[in-house]
Amino acid sequence: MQRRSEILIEALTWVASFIPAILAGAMISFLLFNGASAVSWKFITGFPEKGGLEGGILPAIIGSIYISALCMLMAAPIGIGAGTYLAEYAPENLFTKVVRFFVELLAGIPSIVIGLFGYVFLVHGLGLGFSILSGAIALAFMILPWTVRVSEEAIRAVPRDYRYASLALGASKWKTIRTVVYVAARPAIITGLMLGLGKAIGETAVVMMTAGMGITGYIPVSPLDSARTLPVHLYLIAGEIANTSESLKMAYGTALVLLALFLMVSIPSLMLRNYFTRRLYGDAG
Amino acid sequence: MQVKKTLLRRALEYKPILKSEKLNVWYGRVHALKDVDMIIPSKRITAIMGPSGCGKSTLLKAFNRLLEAEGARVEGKVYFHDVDIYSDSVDPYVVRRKIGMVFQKPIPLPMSIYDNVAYGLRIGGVKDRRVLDKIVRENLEKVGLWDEVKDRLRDSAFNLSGGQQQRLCIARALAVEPEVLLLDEPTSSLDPASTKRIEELLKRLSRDYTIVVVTHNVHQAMRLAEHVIFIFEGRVVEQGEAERIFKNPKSILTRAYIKGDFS
Repeated sequence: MQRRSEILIEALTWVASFIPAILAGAMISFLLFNGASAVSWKFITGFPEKGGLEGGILPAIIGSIYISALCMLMAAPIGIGAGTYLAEYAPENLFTKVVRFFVELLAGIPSIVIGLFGYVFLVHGLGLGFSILSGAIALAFMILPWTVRVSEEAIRAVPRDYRYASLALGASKWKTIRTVVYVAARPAIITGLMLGLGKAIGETAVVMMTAGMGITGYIPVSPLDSARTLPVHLYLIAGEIANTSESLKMAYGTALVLLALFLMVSIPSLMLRNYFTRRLYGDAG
Repeated sequence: MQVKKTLLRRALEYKPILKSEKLNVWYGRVHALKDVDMIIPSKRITAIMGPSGCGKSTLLKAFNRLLEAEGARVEGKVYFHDVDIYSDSVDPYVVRRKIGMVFQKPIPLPMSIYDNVAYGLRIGGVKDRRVLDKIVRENLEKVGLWDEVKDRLRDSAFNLSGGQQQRLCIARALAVEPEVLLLDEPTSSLDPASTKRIEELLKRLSRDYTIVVVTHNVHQAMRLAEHVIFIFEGRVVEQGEAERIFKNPKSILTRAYIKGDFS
């Protein structure tokens, strides 16, 4: 009896593990099947025509890269800084508890609410307008809880012994954090930042309410320019404009490019993570 | 003649390099060390022995102020030469460079073999490549690791065996030129062959350094130590010359511990 239930559990977990794999595979093949014909050199390097029903998506590609890069430029250092404080310095007192609570809270706020906040305080309050800067700041709000938490956990996971070994050699606390703790935590921090970046690249609601929809015939240059990102473009041509087979095909193509952009970011970061892991542990790890 | 000279030299050098007075340590509410008065003679091997949880590792960490990093509260005095290392004017970072430490488990830092040995020097501001190369080599030779690793100094230190890692840690501690080397059960995670190598190494090093070894292994203390401190439940029960203590312990507790009645 014991054995039979063991086998059943194993089979069920096997099935459960298969479902996400099948879903991902099906979605990607569906997109490839329907969208591949839309993707061409002209599609990637051209400007949208007829509201996106024809032409390319270059401004949205640039917009996506611009906004998420600027967002990471803010979210990464703040996240690592806060994670360092919480893991290394924070005493277990009320202040720390309050900070942790708010970080958790921020993680739970729906993105559309963050979008509203960005619209009120960044676009209008600070007068940044519908702009790449507004969008990047609002996106940073959205992913900050993740970068903070991931950094904190990565830093906490570094064995205490490393710190003592470094201190015992006369290193100061900050020197120890910089030269030993960060080095050991680097692979995990990179993974975490990459997940945050993935969320930022794919986010629609926040960007629409803060960066606007952009002028399609124009490549954004200044951070104060309005910009359209790939998800926003996708939403507009698939949902807002006539729901024809033509517009859907363009939407599939856009989705493919969005996916490719995400892979282009995540594959190098995975390689970087593996490189650092190897450097850490050599063949032993 | 040579032997006599060495004995004379050592007799003259039998002076304390470390000394504690009324040392008390608390971890939260736990009173880990109680009124500890002890001396560590210079350029000898001192063994701090006692059953697990008796406070011997705590005492060791009191000598390089690592206790503070663990959040313990320390009262009383610890003199290094004639300076109280817990006085306000003393920088713990300087203390730790003069009094090195090796831990129970080998702790290679997450970097290459070379960078591990160079770590303390770089913290001290040494940047010159030739100086670093020279000191790294000298110290790896001192611990008998040079021939084993000279062709793979850039490899991760994690690729070494446990015994090699522990010798690397000793080399790393020696590279900053400490006067005292503290070792917290340095062989407890190692196999007998590696243990023997480390013990021989410590004997060799005791010519130039003051060595303090924490051990719960009476036989290791007998093999290594010239001076012994026996701790039980946070108090020093007995201390003195190893030969005297092992042959003729004053306290029944010490006698029972040496006999192996408890550990």
